[in-house]
Amino acid sequence: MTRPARLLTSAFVFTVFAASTAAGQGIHQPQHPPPPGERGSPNIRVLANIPLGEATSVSDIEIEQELSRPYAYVARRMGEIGFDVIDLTDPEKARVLTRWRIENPDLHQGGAMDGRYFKHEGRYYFVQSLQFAQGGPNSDVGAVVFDVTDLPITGRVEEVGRIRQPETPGGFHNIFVYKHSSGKPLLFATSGSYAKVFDLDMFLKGDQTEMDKFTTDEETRALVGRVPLGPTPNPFSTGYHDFYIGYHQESGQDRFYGAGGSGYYVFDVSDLKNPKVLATILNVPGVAWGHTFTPSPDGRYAIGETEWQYQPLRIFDLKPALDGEVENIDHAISAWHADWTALAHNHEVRWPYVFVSAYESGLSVFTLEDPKNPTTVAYYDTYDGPHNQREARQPDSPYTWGVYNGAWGVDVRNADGLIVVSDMTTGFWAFKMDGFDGWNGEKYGVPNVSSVQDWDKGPLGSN
Amino acid sequence: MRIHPGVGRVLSLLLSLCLITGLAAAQDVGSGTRNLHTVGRVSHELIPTPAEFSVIVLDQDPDRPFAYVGGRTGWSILDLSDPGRPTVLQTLPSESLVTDIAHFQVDQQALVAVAAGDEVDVFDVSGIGTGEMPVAIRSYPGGSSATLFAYRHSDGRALLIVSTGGDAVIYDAGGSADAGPAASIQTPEQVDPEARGFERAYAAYHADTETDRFYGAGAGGYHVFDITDTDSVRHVTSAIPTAVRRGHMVSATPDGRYLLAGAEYRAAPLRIFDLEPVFEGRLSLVRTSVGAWTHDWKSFLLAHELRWPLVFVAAGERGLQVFNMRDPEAPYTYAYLSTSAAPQGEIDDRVHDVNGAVDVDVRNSDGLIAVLDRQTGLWLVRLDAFQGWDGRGYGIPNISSVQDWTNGPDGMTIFYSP
Repeated sequence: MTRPARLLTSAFVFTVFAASTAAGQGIHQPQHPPPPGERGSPNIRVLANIPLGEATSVSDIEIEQELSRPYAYVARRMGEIGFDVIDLTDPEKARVLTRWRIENPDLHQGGAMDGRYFKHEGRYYFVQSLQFAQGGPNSDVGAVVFDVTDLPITGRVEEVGRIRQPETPGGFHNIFVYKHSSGKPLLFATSGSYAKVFDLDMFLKGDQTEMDKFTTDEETRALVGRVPLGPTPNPFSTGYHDFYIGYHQESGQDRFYGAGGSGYYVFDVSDLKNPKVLATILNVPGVAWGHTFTPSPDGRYAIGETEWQYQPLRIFDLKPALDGEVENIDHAISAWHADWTALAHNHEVRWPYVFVSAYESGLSVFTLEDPKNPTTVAYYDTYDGPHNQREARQPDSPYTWGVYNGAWGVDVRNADGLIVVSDMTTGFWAFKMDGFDGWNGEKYGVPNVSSVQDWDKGPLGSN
Repeated sequence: MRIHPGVGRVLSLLLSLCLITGLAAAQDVGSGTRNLHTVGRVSHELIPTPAEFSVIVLDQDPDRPFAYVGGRTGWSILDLSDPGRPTVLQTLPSESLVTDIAHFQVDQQALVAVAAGDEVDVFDVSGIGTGEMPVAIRSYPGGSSATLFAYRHSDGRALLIVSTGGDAVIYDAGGSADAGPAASIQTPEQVDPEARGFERAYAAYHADTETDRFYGAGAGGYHVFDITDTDSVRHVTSAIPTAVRRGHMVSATPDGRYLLAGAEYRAAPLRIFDLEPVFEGRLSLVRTSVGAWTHDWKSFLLAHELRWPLVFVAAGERGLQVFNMRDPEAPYTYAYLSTSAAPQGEIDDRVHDVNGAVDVDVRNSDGLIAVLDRQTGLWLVRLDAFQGWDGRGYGIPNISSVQDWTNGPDGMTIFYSP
């Protein structure tokens, strides 16, 4: 083909792609396993893949946001309980910098789940949530905190302490770190029937015993808090599975978006002593329980996930409830699937994009530019295992275990748009998406609010 | 202007691609796979039960080529003697939406039960086709969303099962109208009592155990009961998937091993549950499906008819869909026909915004397929290599939604007097 023809063809392909996306048609992601050569969309580029260990030993992922600190943390479970630190100095030559493992691993039953980093008073810390069953050691430990300020000098990574909750053993399944509008660095953690709130400043300056006291002593609860579960008309679960906390610029509130119980819940947690329910999403057909719940930067829309095969991600419009027109939202305004035969798992919102770790489907990106018509814009299938693995199925379980494999976690570095994915089986992945070189909400006409915190200044617009 | 030869070739290629893309995007009503053939149509304007068609039932008697169509303002009887020229024979008005119709026989008397409003009226339709009007002969309590299933019990009774969102009520359609229900079935104790009730029912003979079984879709999912003795109904098992708060429809494969189940929201596929672990005594109930099917996850799967291994589905805006479930873990689309020009409904979980194909039925004697589309009316369709259905031809019991009113459920042990 001649050069003019090639140029014309390229222009046509680009035009068709852009037009179809703009028209709300998006692109089609093939079902897993994809056909030969169709593993990713043309606009996704793989920078790195690091196999980390045995299949299903990988869980969630976190990336630091400052380009001067190019580190990602991948949680590990099964026989490798702990986390791996990935050096992303050159993302195309990503490497494992160091690993931390729990002591006496053979005695522990469980694993490391969610990891989050935070910065406080000039130092950097990484919090790794842990879940251990009773019958082994550390069943009261919910998280372990490390000082990682001196990375890449691995010898100076130090364990600061462990957050214990002996009253509700079993650890923390998910955590979220949040720079509250009061200035406090807070850790929200799933524990018992609450989202427990820990003041990380107090933790760093105190010890484990004092921390226990803060969470149980009425006199000192002003320093921390507990977000109760909202109404649960169909009590599949009596606690939270996951949550997100974001600053709501319009109202000046710190808002908690919790998934669990019988659906999804929005609380005002500006005053940690008195969390107030702002909205509930209950009695939605097909939703007996919420897994993950993430709002748009302005807090109007939210994405809800349930962790069952064939269930899409649902998009909810919270406005009628937040405006007081209704107390409860009972339906979604739209839904999205990477592959209807599987299910999507965790997600990160960088409006209008939603980056999804979609288990068997790998990484998927869809746009909420039209919230009623979410459309896929990019994908890469990171998983190379079978669909709906027969050996993993449990027909009498409420969970669809056969499809819980593949991309568990996803994170996005706002500074440059680097996308990282943790795949339970194939390990660590780093990607770039064409045309996405970073994210700042203001460039998209929305508040600059995402899971990423401004640890130095706090939420934009807060005091 | 002289065009470079390479550019000319590419332009030609692009023009072709645009045409193909444009054609594909504007899929016409009536288009589909080439193994489905439309043999007759009745547009919705010609059926005097206009708008919001809800139900189509084919008379299964080969000597009675009739169809019964219900809608917002009543129900009509159509003559399908010549499927290429279907005609409307009679129309009976109703003040309420006709939510379901069931056809059955008692003592060779052809009857039709029509659910509308708070009543289920039974009509004698034996004389239609000879100019006689249907005659209302009895009524049962109904409900605003009542659904019906007529079943020929192994004890010889014709049972009419009425589901209204509460308990499923079974009437002996051949008995006295004043006798009251033969049985009333509640959702089992595993279901939240406040959410109890059935939306739709199916019943079939289970040849392996020689029992009559009721399959109910409703609160919690899908529930199977033994109704051999209607005085002593027994819960057999349930499929209670966490992703289905309320089952919308259910049927069973002819051998009773697999349930085919739909939910009450868009984006829900037809799930296939394997009850074998229950029958083998390993489990008391199942919670996850072994397979599922949908042609387009955004479509609303509203009704289905199982003629193993094929399943005929009224798929809303996606028209008629046919899939094959010979491998229940890997069902695949077998054929489809676009009956609707309705735009894709919003992916809203509420049961509204229903358009396109809302119901389907299959005539076992000759394989005629009837699809009712809310906007475009009745479609009569034939599928290549499907000239009727009898389970015995597939080596399985001859069990579907179609009843043998004379001989009873297939699989019964039949003794002949010397």
